[in-house]
Amino acid sequence: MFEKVKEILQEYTEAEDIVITIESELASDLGLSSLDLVNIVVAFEEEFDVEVPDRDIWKFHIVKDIVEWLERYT
Amino acid sequence: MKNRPYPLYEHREFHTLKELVCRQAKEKAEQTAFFYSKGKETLIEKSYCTFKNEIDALGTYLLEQNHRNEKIAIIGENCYEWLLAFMAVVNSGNVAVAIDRELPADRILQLVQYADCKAVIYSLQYADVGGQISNEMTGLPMADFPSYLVKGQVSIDFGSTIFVSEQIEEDKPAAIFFTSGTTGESKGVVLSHKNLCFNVYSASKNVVLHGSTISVLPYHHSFGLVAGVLAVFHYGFPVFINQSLKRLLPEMSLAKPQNTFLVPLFVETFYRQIWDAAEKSGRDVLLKSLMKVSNILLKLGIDLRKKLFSSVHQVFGGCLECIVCGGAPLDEKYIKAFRSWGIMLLNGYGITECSPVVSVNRNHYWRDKSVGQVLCGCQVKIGEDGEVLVKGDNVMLGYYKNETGGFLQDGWYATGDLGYVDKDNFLFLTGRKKNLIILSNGENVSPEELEQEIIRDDAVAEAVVYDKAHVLTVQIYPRESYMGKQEYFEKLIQKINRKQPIYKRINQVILREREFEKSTTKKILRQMIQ
Repeated sequence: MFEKVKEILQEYTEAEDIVITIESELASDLGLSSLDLVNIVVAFEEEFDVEVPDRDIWKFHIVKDIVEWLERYT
Repeated sequence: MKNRPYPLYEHREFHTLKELVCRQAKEKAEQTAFFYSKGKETLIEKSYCTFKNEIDALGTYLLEQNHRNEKIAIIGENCYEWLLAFMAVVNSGNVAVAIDRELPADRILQLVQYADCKAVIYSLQYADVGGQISNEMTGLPMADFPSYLVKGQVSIDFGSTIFVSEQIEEDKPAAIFFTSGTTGESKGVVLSHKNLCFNVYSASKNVVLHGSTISVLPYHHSFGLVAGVLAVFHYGFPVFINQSLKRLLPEMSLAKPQNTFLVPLFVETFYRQIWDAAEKSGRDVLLKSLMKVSNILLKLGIDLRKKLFSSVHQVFGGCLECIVCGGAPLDEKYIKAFRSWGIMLLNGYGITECSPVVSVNRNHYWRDKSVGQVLCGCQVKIGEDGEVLVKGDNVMLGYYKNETGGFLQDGWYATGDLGYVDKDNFLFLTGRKKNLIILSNGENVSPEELEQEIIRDDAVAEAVVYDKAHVLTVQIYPRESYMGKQEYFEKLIQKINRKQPIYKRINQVILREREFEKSTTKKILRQMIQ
């Protein structure tokens, strides 16, 4: 799951050489704004055929939060 | 497209939101006030008349349930029911407490308690919050609105005038919006009907919009609700309610809005996405050239922007003409770029305490570096220390449980922002008073002024200027490919220093490897910088 999440995140982060780990912070480490995060969630929804409630998006702070959410609901 | 002074737009005044709703229902009756998508296929439309009838029914239900002179919290995503709840609450003489939908449940409950709410209206997504409210409060789920509306309507049909005859006093509190500063402490801003109505009325004198508007910003923010919805309702044009940012782009295509109200984060993101897409398709050079050509043609009175930049327009549904932007500083490069593409970007200034609009650039009279002309009837003066002070019917009644907070002795509201007003009544902001650096020689430096210059360089992701042991210093968080390139940034600062008076010159450049720490509202925590 982490590898798939990482792949999608990689597309949205500006730099190609950025290292994404399970503990990476979405804002400070990956430079994602809240609006970027929404767009990324749309990509996750398409990839995993799920619907992430808006309220859960605000709870995503690190990569692990996304991975755990997807493991729980897919 | 002329840029010169012209008379303010004419509108009729109104003093309560009830008056506004009644007037629009009478004059616009069956025209669409709101529309939104339900599921993937269905589009729901609500006319002005239906909106009023449903407010009447819900308001009647609330009053018959003895919700009178109470504070009632509203929590939920942007939706028609949120607006219905707000209007039913404020037009029944109750006070609507708008709660930030992004807060965790425990924080929401704290704010509800702090505001002494007697009832909480919540959407399905916040059912857990509804389940946790104390026994002294009533939970009113939006999911139950259909039954409340039926009950209220039955009462009206049997002659109840409890809601429609309820007199609204324009000076009494109507709504509480919470502001969050960089200290993280929330303050409840109490606004009256007069505050809200005056702001809609006077902002509409500066700016006029035609056609539909997509409302994107959250309704618990005064800008999203007052400007993004109430002002458009006042103009008499339809508002498309975007209920989730995840669906923003497809809904832009669906609603084909002519206007929208945004904060800079959206403008910056759209701008970046447009350029990224152009670069990926190898058309960025062409786009730049077309912008130059188009700008020249425009000076000659030839406007081909819709044709030349149709791919840009398609991002926004194809019909977008105007973006009103407020809430944070916006670099003029965005205003110029959007104008080149044929989308008018009107920058404004507002704070919740001023309901919120203080100034906004006009459709045909603007200054790119300014936050616009001060609204008619709203007074702005600059304090001795350069602080922007505001007085007028748009200024709040006070903070909840701290009525005099923020006001000076002579009744002016001190915004905490620094700026000046030019001879044509355009307001310019230069920084935040609390960030002002006072040097040992007594000279004042507004760090934001210098930061704006620095951030304009593409290599800079973030920059903060501060006083480090009496040395004017900048910390820069570079973009990835510029990490560690000290020499590049030294040269950049030297270049910027050349344009500054001696006391404003930066003497030390520190490069960071990590982004600056930020508050929940994504503002840099300056006090954490060492």
